[in-house]
Amino acid sequence: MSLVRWNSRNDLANATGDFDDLLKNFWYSEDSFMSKFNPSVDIEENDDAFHFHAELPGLEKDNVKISLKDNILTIRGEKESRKKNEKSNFHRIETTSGKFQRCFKLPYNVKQESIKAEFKNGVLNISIPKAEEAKPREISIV
Amino acid sequence: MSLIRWNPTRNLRVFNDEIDNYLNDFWNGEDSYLSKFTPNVDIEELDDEFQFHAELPGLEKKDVIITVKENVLTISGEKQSKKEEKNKNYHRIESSFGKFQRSFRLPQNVDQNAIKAEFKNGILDVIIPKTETAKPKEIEIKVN
Repeated sequence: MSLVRWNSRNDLANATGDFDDLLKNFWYSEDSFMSKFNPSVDIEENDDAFHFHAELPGLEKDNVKISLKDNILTIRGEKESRKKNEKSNFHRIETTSGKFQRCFKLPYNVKQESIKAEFKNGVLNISIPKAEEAKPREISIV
Repeated sequence: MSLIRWNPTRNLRVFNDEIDNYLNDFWNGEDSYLSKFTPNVDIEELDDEFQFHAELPGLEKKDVIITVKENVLTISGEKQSKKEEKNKNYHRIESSFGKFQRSFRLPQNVDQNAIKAEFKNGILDVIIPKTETAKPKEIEIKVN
């Protein structure tokens, strides 16, 4: 091992490289969360129901499973990669693909039997009616 | 002006604050590019055509305009904000919205008059056929 002259700024110089690596890994590494498909979900609540809207472009109802257990709503499925077509030559792939799962805890009891889901233009809409006891009500003063 | 005692680590602390601001703006700033809708586009080349696939969840064909001008293909439109619907209580808005525009220079060897587009399940497919001369040809060469 050779002797290296101690330089008080070495740590700082290395920090620059560490920061570069951090950003590179974040954007470009295979494991980066930016390179995996994770649907955006909007959640809306009104007096009677919850409405979930998940953006799942290119998916169809057969690709998605929705379940409700212990008041936790789970949406999961898989978005297939286009790359599987070996005849194609890709100039650009910006879309992401892979398995996904999202879970949401519902704050109140719901009417499990009347949950409805529909797929439209690549958006999955799930309507979950609240149970009667969870609906807001007015209490009259006697 | 009052005298301030010189502190050799002051610049480092300023640097630390700047990084914090940079990351905060990047993720949470109103103008952050992450908060604006920009469709992801895949570009695929086959033997006889190019295919553009743009992810436009929730949009319909009337929301999108596709133009070709001076060999540049432009896909533009607007994804409507949900916030504008009043009397609704949102717990979470992860989707992004707003006007968008993406432009791509086309190669010379395509037939611009035969471009077709189709919308399905939130994906816009634009099919751009190649001209006859651009398609790969197989020529048989006889060996004497």
